[in-house]
Amino acid sequence: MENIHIPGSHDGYFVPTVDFNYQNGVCEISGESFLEETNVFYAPLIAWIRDYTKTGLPLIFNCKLTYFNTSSTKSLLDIFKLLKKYELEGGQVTVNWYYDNEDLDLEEAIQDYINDTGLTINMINF
Amino acid sequence: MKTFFIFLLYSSCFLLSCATQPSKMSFKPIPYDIGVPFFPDSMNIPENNPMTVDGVRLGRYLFYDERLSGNPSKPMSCATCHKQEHSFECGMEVFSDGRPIGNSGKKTPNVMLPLINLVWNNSGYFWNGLINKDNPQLGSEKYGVKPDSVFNMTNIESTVWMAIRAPHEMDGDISQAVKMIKKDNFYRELFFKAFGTTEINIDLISKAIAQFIRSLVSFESQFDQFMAGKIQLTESQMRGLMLFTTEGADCFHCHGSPALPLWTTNMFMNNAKDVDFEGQNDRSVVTKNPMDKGKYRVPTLRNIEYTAPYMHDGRFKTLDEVLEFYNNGLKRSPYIDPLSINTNHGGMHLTDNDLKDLKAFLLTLSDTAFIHDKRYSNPW
Amino acid sequence: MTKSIIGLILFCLVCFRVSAQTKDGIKFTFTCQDKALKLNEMIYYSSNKQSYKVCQCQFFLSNIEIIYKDKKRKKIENSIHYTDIEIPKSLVWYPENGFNLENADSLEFTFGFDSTQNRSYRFKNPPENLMFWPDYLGGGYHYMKTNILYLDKDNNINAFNCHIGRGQIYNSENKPIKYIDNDFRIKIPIKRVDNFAVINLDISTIFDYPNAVLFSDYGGIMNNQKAMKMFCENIKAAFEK
Repeated sequence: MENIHIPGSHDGYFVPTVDFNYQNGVCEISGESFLEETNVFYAPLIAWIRDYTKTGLPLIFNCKLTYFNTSSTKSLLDIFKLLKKYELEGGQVTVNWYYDNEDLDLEEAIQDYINDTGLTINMINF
Repeated sequence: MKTFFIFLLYSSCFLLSCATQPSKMSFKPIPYDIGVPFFPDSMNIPENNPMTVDGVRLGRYLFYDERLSGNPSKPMSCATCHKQEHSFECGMEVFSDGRPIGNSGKKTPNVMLPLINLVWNNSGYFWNGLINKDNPQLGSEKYGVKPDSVFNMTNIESTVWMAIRAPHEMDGDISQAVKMIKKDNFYRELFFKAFGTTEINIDLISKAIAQFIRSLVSFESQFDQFMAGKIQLTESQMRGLMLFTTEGADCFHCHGSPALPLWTTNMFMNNAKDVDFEGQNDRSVVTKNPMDKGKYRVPTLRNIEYTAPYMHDGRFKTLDEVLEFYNNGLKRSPYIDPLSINTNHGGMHLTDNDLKDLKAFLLTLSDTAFIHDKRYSNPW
Repeated sequence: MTKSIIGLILFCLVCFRVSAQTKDGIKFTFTCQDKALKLNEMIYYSSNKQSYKVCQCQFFLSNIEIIYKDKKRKKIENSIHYTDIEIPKSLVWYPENGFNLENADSLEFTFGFDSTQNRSYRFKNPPENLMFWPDYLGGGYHYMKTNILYLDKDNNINAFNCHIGRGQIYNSENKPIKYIDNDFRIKIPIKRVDNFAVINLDISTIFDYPNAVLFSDYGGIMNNQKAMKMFCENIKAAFEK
């Protein structure tokens, strides 16, 4: 499996920085997500995670997004549902979300993900 | 001899000036304070006719003066039909359908609208908003009035010359009306105090009457007393208020609320009472927009108790009939207003008790102080 | 001599720049199904295949904030704007003197009003005063009124009002016991057109995404907090389009 690296940018739209590493099983997404074509951006990321879960190896998902629009919200939900499915199938999954605990809207959004998926998301203040 | 002629000359000048122009120093117009702080700030007062105490006073005399028709054999004033006890509509005692018969024997095409709180109407007068600041029309071929800037159709002033000439109103003669008013010396001082001139013409007559009409302000209903914390409403009235201001009866989107104390939005709406609009003199006649078919002004609900019959054509004689219409009688057409969600199922479908409560609330909007206010009654 | 000429040129450039600076502001646009909105034309279909036309759209935005490329933020406190698709001058907003979009990265604003600003009777004059939200339903003002007409399955014309404001929680006797503020913050990347940042509202998204709406499920929603919350999700997406 190839690693994924997408450098983030803020040129018209907000592209998050993405680093998915097959060797150490750490997936990280950070910055802001507000894309022109959200599905086109996230489809390969979701496909990568799906392929990774076939290996049976542990996966750490670090999220450091500070802002995401509605369509990104949906794509992230798809990722978290996939992770939960992997967990239920016996996979070792750790999800950490690094955020500013003064951002109450973000805190609420993370909580919504926890409630909607049943996934444990460690909310880490930074 | 020379001295005599000089004396004669000076005497003539002196006497003439007394006759035509009292000293300019004595024209001191006092602004008229409408005095309703909880109503909107934006008032429809044209720059060329600011309201003054003496302007309103003059207007009141003219409003009630039957010489306004210019026809001694058919005297008629504004007040002939616009009666204070009916919030300056005509009521149903004389004309059972609420449509007066003019001096020509013709009926008015629609029932009246009340003359209250008009100064806050910025969207146009009459049922279809024909009289509005953007109307470029001058004069009227139909009424035999020449196109002149005095005979415009932009504001309340315009309704005066129209009323004098309209066959279904005074069917009168403007120049005769002016002559008859001029003849009465009583008016010279009033015109001077109002406008700084003893000249009397239709322009100043219209302006004065318009000032009086703008002064007709109603804001002391039972509900206003409640809002000021002076009285309590009954449980039924409170339930009625709740129905009025929720999507149960959904009256508030068009007729306002405590936050919109004019109790009208002054907009034009199609309230789903018709499906055939052929021949109607509705809003579409003014805007030329076919989507405005069936739209008429939303009248104020202030003093609604006194202003039967209801709707532009007076089809409903009582408030109960109106409520029954809104409860079960709404009709779909391609022109229904997008705000009228109750039309989706033919009406509000409230219970009899709900309707009683709604009516009880509507009656709290009656302002007995207004209909008895001596400042608005016949001064003659 | 050369220095003087250079100095003169520089001076002229500065003058040009100063005189070329115009007032920056915000422009509001409306789309429906990704094209410029056509009002009062029955040409649109919701994702539930209901035919509709858009008749009116009015909304309030407040507390606009610019976020610059260097992450600095400038919030214009107590800024409020009323937009009405039928009032052309409301489609342009100059939030304040010195509103400057140079090096701006994104805009953030509140849809509607926050709880401290959403006070009844604060607007005395039209058109803003027409947006009042009844006291029984929570008071303050509508954040939005989007009014449409649609055709039902029998091809009859019906009205639907997407009216958003304070929501209510009711007790078993159907009396409101609590009020919910439905305002929210939205952030969008800057879209510049000349000296304006454009805020677009895609009306079709209000009815389609992320929640597909069936108009015939509703008439009005002012006393339906669940529906208003759902529509708020869609409205957020509609501003993001």
